Amino acid sequence: MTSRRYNEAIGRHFWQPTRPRGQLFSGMAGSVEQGTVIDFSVGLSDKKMCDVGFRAYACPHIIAACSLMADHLDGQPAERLTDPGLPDVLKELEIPVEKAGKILILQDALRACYDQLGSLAGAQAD
Amino acid sequence: MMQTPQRTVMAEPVYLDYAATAPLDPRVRERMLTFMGNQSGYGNPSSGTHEFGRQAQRAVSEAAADVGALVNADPELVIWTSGATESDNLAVIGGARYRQSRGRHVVTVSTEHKAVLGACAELQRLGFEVSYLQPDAAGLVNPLAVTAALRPDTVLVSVMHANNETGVVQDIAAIGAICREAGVLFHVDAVQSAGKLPLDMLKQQVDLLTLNAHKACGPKGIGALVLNSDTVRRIEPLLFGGGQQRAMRPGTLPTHQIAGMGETCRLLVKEMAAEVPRIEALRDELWNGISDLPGILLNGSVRKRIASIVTVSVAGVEGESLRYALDDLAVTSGSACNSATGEPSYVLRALGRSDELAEASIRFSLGRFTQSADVEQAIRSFRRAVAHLQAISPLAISGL
Repeated sequence: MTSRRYNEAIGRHFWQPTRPRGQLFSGMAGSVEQGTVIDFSVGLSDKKMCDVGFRAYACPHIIAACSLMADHLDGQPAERLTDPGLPDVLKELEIPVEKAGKILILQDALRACYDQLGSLAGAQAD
Repeated sequence: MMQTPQRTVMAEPVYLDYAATAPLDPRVRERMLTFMGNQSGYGNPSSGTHEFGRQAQRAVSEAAADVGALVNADPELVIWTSGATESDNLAVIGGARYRQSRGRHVVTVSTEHKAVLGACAELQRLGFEVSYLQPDAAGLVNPLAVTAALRPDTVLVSVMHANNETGVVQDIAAIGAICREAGVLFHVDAVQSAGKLPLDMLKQQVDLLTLNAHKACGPKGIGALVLNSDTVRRIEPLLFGGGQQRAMRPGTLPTHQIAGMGETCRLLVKEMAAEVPRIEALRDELWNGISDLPGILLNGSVRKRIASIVTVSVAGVEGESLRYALDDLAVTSGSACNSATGEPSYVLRALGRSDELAEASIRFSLGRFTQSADVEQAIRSFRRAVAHLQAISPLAISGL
Protein backbone atom coordinates (compact mmCIF):
# COMPACT_ATOMS: atom_id res chain seq x y z
CA MET A 1 0.00 0.00 0.00
CA THR A 2 1.36 3.36 -0.87
CA SER A 3 0.68 6.73 0.68
CA ARG A 4 2.63 8.79 -1.80
CA ARG A 5 -0.50 10.59 -2.97
CA TYR A 6 -1.17 11.92 0.51
CA ASN A 7 0.78 14.67 2.21
CA GLU A 8 1.87 14.71 5.84
CA ALA A 9 -1.11 16.74 7.01
CA ILE A 10 -3.43 14.08 5.65
CA GLY A 11 -1.75 11.45 7.80
CA ARG A 12 -1.92 13.61 10.89
CA HIS A 13 -5.61 14.41 10.53
CA PHE A 14 -6.49 10.91 9.32
CA TRP A 15 -5.13 9.18 12.41
CA GLN A 16 -6.03 11.91 14.92
CA PRO A 17 -9.19 13.50 13.61
CA THR A 18 -11.08 16.08 15.56
CA ARG A 19 -13.84 13.98 17.07
CA PRO A 20 -17.30 15.17 18.06
CA ARG A 21 -17.47 16.06 21.75
CA GLY A 22 -21.07 17.04 22.03
CA GLN A 23 -23.89 17.02 19.55
CA LEU A 24 -25.93 20.16 19.91
CA PHE A 25 -26.28 20.72 16.19
CA SER A 26 -25.36 18.39 13.38
CA GLY A 27 -25.65 18.15 9.64
CA MET A 28 -25.32 15.09 7.45
CA ALA A 29 -24.63 14.84 3.72
CA GLY A 30 -23.57 12.31 1.10
CA SER A 31 -24.34 8.64 0.65
CA VAL A 32 -22.59 5.30 0.64
CA GLU A 33 -23.16 5.12 -3.11
CA GLN A 34 -21.28 8.38 -3.47
CA GLY A 35 -18.46 6.92 -1.37
CA THR A 36 -18.75 9.73 1.15
CA VAL A 37 -21.00 10.30 4.15
CA ILE A 38 -20.22 13.16 6.53
CA ASP A 39 -21.93 13.97 9.83
CA PHE A 40 -20.64 17.32 11.08
CA SER A 41 -21.52 18.57 14.55
CA VAL A 42 -21.01 21.77 16.53
CA GLY A 43 -21.84 23.16 19.87
CA LEU A 44 -22.58 26.84 20.53
CA SER A 45 -21.31 29.04 23.33
CA ASP A 46 -21.71 32.84 23.39
CA LYS A 47 -22.68 32.75 19.70
CA LYS A 48 -19.45 31.04 18.82
CA MET A 49 -18.93 27.46 17.76
CA CYS A 50 -17.37 25.00 20.18
CA ASP A 51 -16.87 21.25 20.42
CA VAL A 52 -16.71 21.07 16.65
CA GLY A 53 -16.27 17.56 15.31
CA PHE A 54 -17.40 15.05 12.73
CA ARG A 55 -17.87 11.45 11.74
CA ALA A 56 -17.09 10.36 8.19
CA TYR A 57 -17.23 7.44 5.84
CA ALA A 58 -14.82 8.81 3.30
CA CYS A 59 -11.42 8.67 1.68
CA PRO A 60 -8.35 9.92 3.57
CA HIS A 61 -8.46 13.32 1.84
CA ILE A 62 -12.02 13.99 2.94
CA ILE A 63 -11.50 12.68 6.47
CA ALA A 64 -8.55 15.03 6.79
CA ALA A 65 -10.54 17.87 5.26
CA CYS A 66 -13.30 17.37 7.82
CA SER A 67 -10.79 17.33 10.65
CA LEU A 68 -8.99 20.44 9.43
CA MET A 69 -12.27 22.21 8.92
CA ALA A 70 -13.35 21.34 12.46
CA ASP A 71 -10.13 22.86 13.78
CA HIS A 72 -10.66 26.02 11.72
CA LEU A 73 -14.26 26.50 12.77
CA ASP A 74 -13.76 26.04 16.49
CA GLY A 75 -14.30 29.41 18.20
CA GLN A 76 -15.70 31.02 15.05
CA PRO A 77 -19.19 32.54 14.72
CA ALA A 78 -21.80 30.12 13.38
CA GLU A 79 -22.12 32.09 10.15
CA ARG A 80 -18.73 30.69 9.12
CA LEU A 81 -20.52 27.42 8.40
CA THR A 82 -21.86 29.08 5.24
CA ASP A 83 -18.48 30.38 4.15
CA PRO A 84 -15.96 27.98 5.66
CA GLY A 85 -12.96 28.66 3.43
CA LEU A 86 -12.85 25.40 1.53
CA PRO A 87 -10.20 26.57 -0.97
CA ASP A 88 -7.72 26.92 1.90
CA VAL A 89 -8.44 23.34 2.96
CA LEU A 90 -7.98 22.07 -0.56
CA LYS A 91 -4.64 23.84 -0.76
CA GLU A 92 -3.31 22.83 2.64
CA LEU A 93 -4.13 19.16 2.13
CA GLU A 94 -3.18 19.14 -1.56
CA ILE A 95 -6.45 17.49 -2.43
CA PRO A 96 -6.35 16.33 -6.05
CA VAL A 97 -8.68 18.00 -8.46
CA GLU A 98 -10.64 14.80 -9.14
CA LYS A 99 -11.75 14.83 -5.49
CA ALA A 100 -12.88 18.41 -5.45
CA GLY A 101 -16.45 17.22 -6.02
CA LYS A 102 -16.36 15.30 -2.76
CA ILE A 103 -15.47 18.48 -0.93
CA LEU A 104 -18.89 19.73 -1.93
CA ILE A 105 -20.35 17.01 0.28
CA LEU A 106 -18.47 18.55 3.20
CA GLN A 107 -19.90 21.90 2.19
CA ASP A 108 -23.39 20.38 2.17
CA ALA A 109 -22.87 18.90 5.63
CA LEU A 110 -21.73 22.25 7.01
CA ARG A 111 -24.72 23.95 5.43
CA ALA A 112 -27.07 21.33 6.88
CA CYS A 113 -25.51 21.96 10.27
CA TYR A 114 -26.10 25.68 9.92
CA ASP A 115 -29.69 25.13 8.79
CA GLN A 116 -30.38 22.99 11.83
CA LEU A 117 -28.79 25.56 14.06
CA GLY A 118 -30.96 28.26 12.47
CA SER A 119 -34.19 26.29 12.73
CA LEU A 120 -33.57 25.41 16.38
CA ALA A 121 -32.72 29.01 17.16
CA GLY A 122 -35.94 30.04 15.38
CA ALA A 123 -37.94 27.51 17.37
CA GLN A 124 -36.50 28.85 20.61
CA ALA A 125 -37.40 32.43 19.56
CA ASP A 126 -41.00 31.29 18.88
CA MET B 1 11.33 -31.38 7.99
CA MET B 2 11.64 -28.85 5.21
CA GLN B 3 14.20 -26.09 5.70
CA THR B 4 12.36 -22.87 4.93
CA PRO B 5 14.72 -20.33 3.38
CA GLN B 6 14.94 -17.17 5.45
CA ARG B 7 13.83 -13.89 4.03
CA THR B 8 17.02 -12.08 3.08
CA VAL B 9 16.34 -8.61 1.74
CA MET B 10 12.80 -7.80 2.80
CA ALA B 11 12.36 -4.45 4.46
CA GLU B 12 9.08 -3.27 5.89
CA PRO B 13 6.24 -3.26 5.01
CA VAL B 14 5.33 -6.88 5.52
CA TYR B 15 4.92 -8.55 2.15
CA LEU B 16 1.59 -10.35 1.83
CA ASP B 17 1.01 -10.03 -1.89
CA TYR B 18 2.21 -13.41 -3.16
CA ALA B 19 -0.80 -13.76 -5.43
CA ALA B 20 0.53 -10.78 -7.37
CA THR B 21 4.11 -11.96 -7.42
CA ALA B 22 6.59 -13.61 -5.08
CA PRO B 23 10.20 -12.93 -4.14
CA LEU B 24 12.76 -14.94 -6.04
CA ASP B 25 13.95 -18.02 -4.19
CA PRO B 26 17.76 -17.85 -3.81
CA ARG B 27 18.04 -21.43 -5.04
CA VAL B 28 16.23 -20.48 -8.24
CA ARG B 29 18.48 -17.48 -8.67
CA GLU B 30 21.55 -19.70 -8.34
CA ARG B 31 20.24 -22.01 -11.03
CA MET B 32 19.56 -19.08 -13.34
CA LEU B 33 23.02 -17.59 -12.84
CA THR B 34 24.50 -20.78 -14.28
CA PHE B 35 23.23 -19.62 -17.65
CA MET B 36 23.93 -15.91 -17.33
CA GLY B 37 27.71 -15.85 -17.39
CA ASN B 38 30.00 -15.23 -20.34
CA GLN B 39 32.03 -18.39 -19.91
CA SER B 40 29.38 -21.00 -20.49
CA GLY B 41 25.67 -21.62 -20.60
CA TYR B 42 24.90 -18.85 -23.05
CA GLY B 43 24.44 -20.94 -26.15
CA ASN B 44 21.25 -20.92 -28.17
CA PRO B 45 19.24 -24.04 -27.31
CA SER B 46 18.46 -24.42 -31.01
CA SER B 47 22.15 -24.59 -31.91
CA GLY B 48 22.60 -28.32 -31.53
CA THR B 49 25.71 -28.31 -33.70
CA HIS B 50 28.05 -27.27 -30.87
CA GLU B 51 28.50 -27.86 -27.17
CA PHE B 52 27.35 -24.39 -26.12
CA GLY B 53 24.00 -24.99 -27.76
CA ARG B 54 23.77 -28.58 -26.53
CA GLN B 55 24.43 -27.43 -22.96
CA ALA B 56 21.53 -24.97 -23.20
CA GLN B 57 19.41 -27.64 -24.87
CA ARG B 58 19.97 -29.98 -21.94
CA ALA B 59 19.00 -27.26 -19.49
CA VAL B 60 15.77 -26.63 -21.38
CA SER B 61 15.00 -30.35 -21.48
CA GLU B 62 15.63 -30.70 -17.75
CA ALA B 63 13.37 -27.77 -17.04
CA ALA B 64 10.63 -29.23 -19.23
CA ALA B 65 10.91 -32.47 -17.28
CA ASP B 66 10.51 -30.55 -14.03
CA VAL B 67 7.39 -28.81 -15.36
CA GLY B 68 6.05 -32.10 -16.65
CA ALA B 69 6.61 -33.72 -13.27
CA LEU B 70 4.62 -30.99 -11.54
CA VAL B 71 1.52 -31.51 -13.68
CA ASN B 72 2.00 -35.09 -14.94
CA ALA B 73 2.54 -34.14 -18.56
CA ASP B 74 4.83 -35.06 -21.42
CA PRO B 75 7.83 -32.69 -21.26
CA GLU B 76 7.89 -32.64 -25.05
CA LEU B 77 4.64 -30.69 -25.01
CA VAL B 78 5.71 -27.92 -22.64
CA ILE B 79 5.54 -24.69 -24.65
CA TRP B 80 7.59 -21.90 -23.11
CA THR B 81 6.02 -18.46 -23.15
CA SER B 82 6.66 -15.03 -21.68
CA GLY B 83 4.22 -15.68 -18.83
CA ALA B 84 0.68 -16.59 -17.94
CA THR B 85 -0.98 -13.89 -20.02
CA GLU B 86 0.65 -15.21 -23.16
CA SER B 87 -0.10 -18.80 -22.16
CA ASP B 88 -3.77 -17.99 -21.59
CA ASN B 89 -3.96 -16.14 -24.90
CA LEU B 90 -2.22 -18.95 -26.74
CA ALA B 91 -4.49 -21.58 -25.18
CA VAL B 92 -7.78 -19.77 -25.72
CA ILE B 93 -7.16 -18.18 -29.08
CA GLY B 94 -4.76 -20.79 -30.42
CA GLY B 95 -6.88 -23.69 -29.19
CA ALA B 96 -10.17 -22.31 -30.46
CA ARG B 97 -8.75 -21.33 -33.83
CA TYR B 98 -7.15 -24.72 -34.29
CA ARG B 99 -10.51 -26.38 -33.74
CA GLN B 100 -12.64 -23.79 -35.57
CA SER B 101 -13.51 -26.15 -38.37
CA ARG B 102 -15.65 -27.96 -35.77
CA GLY B 103 -17.33 -24.84 -34.44
CA ARG B 104 -16.84 -21.33 -33.14
CA HIS B 105 -18.26 -21.39 -29.62
CA VAL B 106 -16.27 -21.07 -26.39
CA VAL B 107 -17.34 -21.33 -22.73
CA THR B 108 -15.66 -19.56 -19.84
CA VAL B 109 -16.50 -17.99 -16.47
CA SER B 110 -17.13 -14.33 -15.70
CA THR B 111 -14.58 -14.42 -12.85
CA GLU B 112 -11.66 -15.66 -14.95
CA HIS B 113 -8.40 -13.74 -15.06
CA LYS B 114 -8.41 -10.89 -17.53
CA ALA B 115 -5.85 -12.74 -19.63
CA VAL B 116 -8.58 -15.27 -20.42
CA LEU B 117 -11.41 -12.74 -20.64
CA GLY B 118 -9.33 -10.55 -22.92
CA ALA B 119 -8.54 -13.52 -25.16
CA CYS B 120 -12.25 -14.39 -25.28
CA ALA B 121 -13.05 -10.82 -26.26
CA GLU B 122 -10.56 -11.13 -29.10
CA LEU B 123 -12.23 -14.37 -30.20
CA GLN B 124 -15.56 -12.55 -30.25
CA ARG B 125 -13.98 -9.90 -32.43
CA LEU B 126 -12.91 -12.72 -34.75
CA GLY B 127 -16.47 -13.98 -34.99
CA PHE B 128 -16.57 -16.61 -32.25
CA GLU B 129 -19.39 -16.75 -29.71
CA VAL B 130 -18.49 -16.90 -26.03
CA SER B 131 -20.74 -18.01 -23.16
CA TYR B 132 -19.82 -16.58 -19.75
CA LEU B 133 -20.90 -18.72 -16.79
CA GLN B 134 -21.77 -17.00 -13.52
CA PRO B 135 -20.40 -18.48 -10.28
CA ASP B 136 -22.53 -18.76 -7.16
CA ALA B 137 -22.11 -16.48 -4.14
CA ALA B 138 -19.19 -18.61 -2.96
CA GLY B 139 -17.45 -18.14 -6.29
CA LEU B 140 -17.99 -21.73 -7.35
CA VAL B 141 -19.04 -22.94 -10.79
CA ASN B 142 -21.36 -25.90 -10.80
CA PRO B 143 -19.96 -28.41 -13.33
CA LEU B 144 -23.52 -29.02 -14.48
CA ALA B 145 -23.59 -25.40 -15.63
CA VAL B 146 -20.73 -26.27 -17.96
CA THR B 147 -22.69 -29.21 -19.31
CA ALA B 148 -25.67 -26.95 -19.90
CA ALA B 149 -23.55 -24.39 -21.73
CA LEU B 150 -22.01 -26.85 -24.18
CA ARG B 151 -23.32 -26.78 -27.73
CA PRO B 152 -22.59 -28.88 -30.79
CA ASP B 153 -20.29 -26.12 -32.02
CA THR B 154 -18.41 -25.65 -28.72
CA VAL B 155 -14.68 -26.13 -29.23
CA LEU B 156 -13.13 -24.95 -25.97
CA VAL B 157 -13.90 -24.45 -22.27
CA SER B 158 -11.62 -22.34 -20.07
CA VAL B 159 -11.98 -22.46 -16.27
CA MET B 160 -9.25 -21.40 -13.85
CA HIS B 161 -8.25 -23.76 -11.04
CA ALA B 162 -7.91 -21.23 -8.19
CA ASN B 163 -9.15 -17.67 -8.49
CA ASN B 164 -6.46 -15.02 -8.16
CA GLU B 165 -8.63 -12.66 -6.08
CA THR B 166 -10.47 -15.02 -3.78
CA GLY B 167 -8.47 -18.26 -3.91
CA VAL B 168 -11.67 -20.23 -4.57
CA VAL B 169 -10.96 -23.60 -6.17
CA GLN B 170 -13.05 -25.01 -9.01
CA ASP B 171 -13.67 -28.72 -9.52
CA ILE B 172 -11.54 -29.05 -12.63
CA ALA B 173 -11.61 -32.85 -12.60
CA ALA B 174 -15.40 -32.86 -12.91
CA ILE B 175 -15.35 -30.19 -15.62
CA GLY B 176 -12.52 -32.02 -17.37
CA ALA B 177 -14.59 -35.19 -17.52
CA ILE B 178 -17.53 -33.30 -18.99
CA CYS B 179 -15.35 -31.69 -21.65
CA ARG B 180 -13.62 -34.94 -22.51
CA GLU B 181 -16.90 -36.71 -23.01
CA ALA B 182 -18.08 -33.89 -25.27
CA GLY B 183 -14.84 -33.82 -27.23
CA VAL B 184 -14.20 -30.22 -26.25
CA LEU B 185 -10.77 -28.79 -25.40
CA PHE B 186 -10.43 -27.91 -21.71
CA HIS B 187 -8.03 -25.14 -20.69
CA VAL B 188 -7.11 -24.46 -17.07
CA ASP B 189 -5.19 -21.47 -15.75
CA ALA B 190 -3.34 -23.05 -12.83
CA VAL B 191 -1.09 -20.13 -11.99
CA GLN B 192 -2.40 -19.71 -8.43
CA SER B 193 -2.79 -23.39 -7.64
CA ALA B 194 0.54 -24.74 -8.93
CA GLY B 195 2.43 -26.16 -5.99
CA LYS B 196 -0.53 -25.67 -3.68
CA LEU B 197 -2.93 -28.28 -5.03
CA PRO B 198 -2.27 -31.56 -6.84
CA LEU B 199 -2.19 -31.12 -10.59
CA ASP B 200 -2.45 -34.12 -12.89
CA MET B 201 -3.37 -33.30 -16.46
CA LEU B 202 -4.09 -36.92 -17.28
CA LYS B 203 -6.30 -37.72 -14.30
CA GLN B 204 -8.02 -34.33 -14.28
CA GLN B 205 -8.43 -34.51 -18.06
CA VAL B 206 -7.01 -31.09 -18.70
CA ASP B 207 -5.97 -30.49 -22.32
CA LEU B 208 -4.21 -27.14 -22.00
CA LEU B 209 -2.69 -25.85 -18.77
CA THR B 210 -1.26 -22.41 -18.02
CA LEU B 211 1.64 -21.98 -15.60
CA ASN B 212 4.10 -19.26 -14.75
CA ALA B 213 7.12 -19.03 -12.48
CA HIS B 214 6.94 -15.75 -10.63
CA LYS B 215 3.89 -16.54 -8.49
CA ALA B 216 5.86 -19.45 -7.04
CA CYS B 217 9.13 -17.70 -6.17
CA GLY B 218 10.53 -18.06 -9.66
CA PRO B 219 11.56 -15.43 -12.20
CA LYS B 220 9.20 -13.04 -13.92
CA GLY B 221 8.95 -13.15 -17.69
CA ILE B 222 8.62 -16.89 -18.13
CA GLY B 223 5.62 -19.18 -18.28
CA ALA B 224 4.43 -22.28 -20.01
CA LEU B 225 1.44 -23.68 -21.78
CA VAL B 226 1.39 -27.44 -21.31
CA LEU B 227 -0.45 -29.63 -23.79
CA ASN B 228 -1.95 -32.97 -22.91
CA SER B 229 -0.21 -35.41 -25.23
CA ASP B 230 -3.21 -37.75 -25.15
CA THR B 231 -5.58 -35.25 -26.69
CA VAL B 232 -3.93 -32.25 -28.29
CA ARG B 233 -0.58 -32.00 -29.98
CA ARG B 234 -1.09 -28.79 -31.88
CA ILE B 235 -2.71 -25.36 -31.58
CA GLU B 236 -2.57 -22.28 -33.78
CA PRO B 237 0.36 -20.01 -32.96
CA LEU B 238 0.02 -16.35 -32.07
CA LEU B 239 3.58 -15.57 -33.16
CA PHE B 240 5.39 -16.46 -36.36
CA GLY B 241 9.08 -16.80 -37.03
CA GLY B 242 11.84 -19.35 -36.78
CA GLY B 243 9.77 -22.41 -36.07
CA GLN B 244 11.01 -23.10 -32.54
CA GLN B 245 8.75 -25.13 -30.26
CA ARG B 246 7.16 -26.86 -33.25
CA ALA B 247 6.23 -23.46 -34.60
CA MET B 248 3.56 -23.11 -31.91
CA ARG B 249 5.59 -20.41 -30.18
CA PRO B 250 8.67 -19.41 -32.15
CA GLY B 251 11.52 -17.29 -30.82
CA THR B 252 14.91 -17.97 -29.22
CA LEU B 253 14.39 -19.71 -25.92
CA PRO B 254 15.63 -17.78 -22.84
CA THR B 255 17.68 -20.52 -21.23
CA HIS B 256 18.23 -18.78 -17.90
CA GLN B 257 14.51 -18.02 -17.52
CA ILE B 258 13.53 -21.53 -18.47
CA ALA B 259 16.10 -23.04 -16.11
CA GLY B 260 14.69 -20.81 -13.38
CA MET B 261 11.16 -21.98 -14.04
CA GLY B 262 12.32 -25.58 -14.08
CA GLU B 263 14.00 -25.13 -10.70
CA THR B 264 10.86 -23.39 -9.41
CA CYS B 265 8.73 -26.39 -10.39
CA ARG B 266 11.27 -28.85 -9.00
CA LEU B 267 11.12 -27.09 -5.64
CA LEU B 268 7.32 -27.06 -5.71
CA VAL B 269 7.24 -30.83 -6.21
CA LYS B 270 9.88 -31.40 -3.54
CA GLU B 271 8.47 -29.07 -0.87
CA MET B 272 4.74 -28.94 -1.49
CA ALA B 273 3.89 -31.54 1.14
CA ALA B 274 5.55 -29.49 3.88
CA GLU B 275 5.01 -25.99 2.56
CA VAL B 276 1.28 -26.07 1.95
CA PRO B 277 0.23 -27.07 5.49
CA ARG B 278 2.59 -24.45 6.90
CA ILE B 279 1.08 -21.69 4.75
CA GLU B 280 -2.42 -22.96 5.42
CA ALA B 281 -1.83 -22.73 9.16
CA LEU B 282 -0.62 -19.14 8.77
CA ARG B 283 -3.66 -18.30 6.64
CA ASP B 284 -5.96 -19.72 9.30
CA GLU B 285 -4.08 -17.82 11.99
CA LEU B 286 -4.63 -14.63 10.02
CA TRP B 287 -8.33 -15.23 9.46
CA ASN B 288 -8.89 -16.30 13.06
CA GLY B 289 -7.16 -13.12 14.18
CA ILE B 290 -9.55 -10.82 12.34
CA SER B 291 -12.75 -12.82 11.84
CA ASP B 292 -14.38 -11.40 14.99
CA LEU B 293 -14.20 -7.81 13.77
CA PRO B 294 -17.63 -6.21 13.29
CA GLY B 295 -18.72 -6.11 9.68
CA ILE B 296 -16.00 -8.38 8.33
CA LEU B 297 -16.88 -10.75 5.50
CA LEU B 298 -14.79 -13.51 3.94
CA ASN B 299 -15.05 -13.43 0.17
CA GLY B 300 -15.53 -16.78 -1.54
CA SER B 301 -16.03 -20.32 -0.38
CA VAL B 302 -14.87 -21.04 3.14
CA ARG B 303 -13.80 -24.61 2.41
CA LYS B 304 -12.89 -24.73 -1.28
CA ARG B 305 -9.95 -22.36 -1.33
CA ILE B 306 -6.21 -22.57 -1.72
CA ALA B 307 -3.94 -22.32 1.28
CA SER B 308 -2.46 -18.97 0.50
CA ILE B 309 -5.26 -16.43 -0.04
CA VAL B 310 -7.67 -14.69 2.32
CA THR B 311 -9.78 -11.91 0.82
CA VAL B 312 -12.06 -9.95 3.10
CA SER B 313 -14.46 -7.05 2.82
CA VAL B 314 -15.34 -4.76 5.70
CA ALA B 315 -18.71 -3.08 6.09
CA GLY B 316 -18.84 0.50 7.31
CA VAL B 317 -15.40 1.56 6.14
CA GLU B 318 -14.43 3.22 2.91
CA GLY B 319 -12.04 1.28 0.66
CA GLU B 320 -9.41 3.89 -0.05
CA SER B 321 -9.13 4.76 3.63
CA LEU B 322 -8.80 1.09 4.53
CA ARG B 323 -5.92 0.68 2.10
CA TYR B 324 -4.33 3.90 3.32
CA ALA B 325 -4.54 2.76 6.92
CA LEU B 326 -2.69 -0.45 6.05
CA ASP B 327 0.39 1.36 4.90
CA ASP B 328 2.68 -1.03 6.76
CA LEU B 329 1.37 -4.02 4.84
CA ALA B 330 2.12 -4.87 1.22
CA VAL B 331 -1.35 -6.07 0.37
CA THR B 332 -3.74 -5.22 -2.41
CA SER B 333 -7.39 -4.49 -2.62
CA GLY B 334 -9.30 -7.61 -3.47
CA SER B 335 -11.12 -5.30 -5.78
CA ALA B 336 -8.10 -5.05 -8.09
CA CYS B 337 -9.44 -1.57 -8.52
CA ASN B 338 -8.67 -0.19 -11.90
CA SER B 339 -6.88 3.08 -11.22
CA ALA B 340 -8.05 4.57 -14.49
CA THR B 341 -11.75 3.84 -14.09
CA GLY B 342 -12.06 3.37 -10.33
CA GLU B 343 -14.21 0.33 -11.02
CA PRO B 344 -14.53 -2.14 -8.14
CA SER B 345 -13.59 -5.78 -8.68
CA TYR B 346 -15.63 -7.63 -11.29
CA VAL B 347 -14.83 -10.84 -9.42
CA LEU B 348 -16.29 -9.71 -6.10
CA ARG B 349 -19.28 -8.13 -7.79
CA ALA B 350 -19.93 -11.46 -9.54
CA LEU B 351 -20.08 -13.00 -6.06
CA GLY B 352 -22.84 -10.55 -5.17
CA ARG B 353 -20.83 -8.03 -3.19
CA SER B 354 -21.97 -4.41 -3.44
CA ASP B 355 -19.67 -1.89 -5.03
CA GLU B 356 -18.86 -0.51 -1.58
CA LEU B 357 -17.93 -3.91 -0.15
CA ALA B 358 -15.96 -4.80 -3.25
CA GLU B 359 -14.06 -1.56 -2.84
CA ALA B 360 -13.52 -2.08 0.89
CA SER B 361 -11.76 -5.39 0.37
CA ILE B 362 -8.24 -6.54 1.10
CA ARG B 363 -6.49 -9.57 -0.33
CA PHE B 364 -3.86 -11.12 1.91
CA SER B 365 -1.78 -13.66 0.04
CA LEU B 366 0.92 -15.66 1.80
CA GLY B 367 3.84 -17.64 0.52
CA ARG B 368 7.14 -19.38 1.04
CA PHE B 369 8.83 -16.68 3.07
CA THR B 370 5.84 -15.61 5.16
CA GLN B 371 6.48 -16.09 8.85
CA SER B 372 4.22 -16.08 11.88
CA ALA B 373 5.56 -12.66 12.89
CA ASP B 374 4.36 -11.28 9.56
CA VAL B 375 0.88 -12.60 10.18
CA GLU B 376 0.85 -11.21 13.71
CA GLN B 377 1.74 -7.77 12.38
CA ALA B 378 -0.94 -8.05 9.72
CA ILE B 379 -3.54 -8.88 12.36
CA ARG B 380 -2.47 -5.94 14.54
CA SER B 381 -2.47 -3.49 11.64
CA PHE B 382 -5.76 -4.66 10.23
CA ARG B 383 -7.54 -4.57 13.58
CA ARG B 384 -6.21 -1.09 14.27
CA ALA B 385 -7.26 0.18 10.83
CA VAL B 386 -10.77 -1.25 10.98
CA ALA B 387 -11.37 -0.14 14.57
CA HIS B 388 -10.24 3.38 13.73
CA LEU B 389 -12.35 3.70 10.60
CA GLN B 390 -15.44 2.20 12.17
CA ALA B 391 -15.03 4.50 15.18
CA ILE B 392 -15.19 7.59 12.99
CA SER B 393 -17.84 6.21 10.62
CA PRO B 394 -21.35 7.64 10.85
CA LEU B 395 -22.77 4.41 9.41
CA ALA B 396 -24.36 1.64 11.36
CA ILE B 397 -22.35 -1.40 10.28
CA SER B 398 -25.38 -3.60 9.94
CA GLY B 399 -26.91 -1.00 7.69
CA LEU B 400 -24.66 -1.73 4.74
